[in-house]
Amino acid sequence: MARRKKKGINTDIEDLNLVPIMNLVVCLIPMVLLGMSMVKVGVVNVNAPKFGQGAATPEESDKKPLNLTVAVGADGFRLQATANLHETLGMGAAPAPDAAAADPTAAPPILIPKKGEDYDYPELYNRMNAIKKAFPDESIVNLTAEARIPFKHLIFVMDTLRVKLAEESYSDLAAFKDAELKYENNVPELLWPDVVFAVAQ
Amino acid sequence: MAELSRDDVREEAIAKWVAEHQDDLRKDRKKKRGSDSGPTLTINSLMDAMTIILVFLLMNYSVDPLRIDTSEDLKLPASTTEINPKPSAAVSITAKGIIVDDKAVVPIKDGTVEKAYKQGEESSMQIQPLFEALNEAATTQKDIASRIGSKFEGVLTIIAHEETPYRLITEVLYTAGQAEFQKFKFAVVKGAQRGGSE
Repeated sequence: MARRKKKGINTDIEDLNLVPIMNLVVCLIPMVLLGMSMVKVGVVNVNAPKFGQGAATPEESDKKPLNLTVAVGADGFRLQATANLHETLGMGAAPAPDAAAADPTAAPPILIPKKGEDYDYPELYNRMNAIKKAFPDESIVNLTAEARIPFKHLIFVMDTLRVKLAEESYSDLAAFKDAELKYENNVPELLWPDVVFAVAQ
Repeated sequence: MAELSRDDVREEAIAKWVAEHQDDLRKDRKKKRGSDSGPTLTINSLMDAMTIILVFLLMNYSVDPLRIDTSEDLKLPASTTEINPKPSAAVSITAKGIIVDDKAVVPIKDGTVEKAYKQGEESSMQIQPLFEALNEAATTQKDIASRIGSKFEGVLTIIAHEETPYRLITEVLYTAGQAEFQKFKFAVVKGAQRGGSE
């Protein structure tokens, strides 16, 4: 009898009317979704720019700073440093210094020409990896570009220079794109992580 | 005997009345709910899912320190970086103008800033209205840093359109440098492949 009574009470309780809450939630979800940016934003760190050429901070040690510079031009990349990069990269004797250049004693820069319409990022990586092998203590690279070069190319160059890849050199773009990173103790090995923007005024 | 039977009759009558009344009440309730047309929809599980989705979305919404509304004039370049943005002062360089704290400070025409906005000659690197806006932002940050007992780090996030010319980027960096910002972070879209995606 008691059980029957209980059952009777239970059946009398009305279900919660969830329709207004549902309306609210159904409106809120599209609103929040629209407000959210779907792209995952990250950042690339850059140090304060250096203005004018040869403004490198004087080092206390006798060691001459490498002052490695990557310049992005309309025709390709140019690499220059205080050391003789032609010798470092095994490209034979350096050509005679250009008397008309800003620094007449420096060897002319190494040009990595464009491949058709696109910049040759694998070749840039190969060269920069070889330079890193010759100067393992250096991590600072100056980055500069011609005035009209779009900003995205600088980001692509910084991506290329940031970390070491599994292989020493890559011959084609497809292999370079799919390349795995090189790890040491589960941390990616860095190549030229400290980028300084440089501008010749 | 006769009384007892009368009692029985009365009880029966009451029970009948209650039963009939309950039936009426139930019918009324059913009519109110409109469930006469068919079985009710079970929306409890749907509600659970919706609530979880809503909470998840709201959490994501509030955690993001750098909210960027990309458009035709502000398309970020793609990068392989893994570094997440941190809250800092930000300056946006779109195809049409430079924006600091949601306020347009300088218009851009064909990727350059007009001479009138620069200090000195056209070859000058300093963009005056931007310098003033950034100086104000730096003062605010220094004030906040001194109040909470930390050091002003001079970090500036630059949200630049991917086609911005290098010259304009350096002008903005130089101006920010004059306003005591020393560390720069370029906002990019994560998850790109190496070697660009043109």
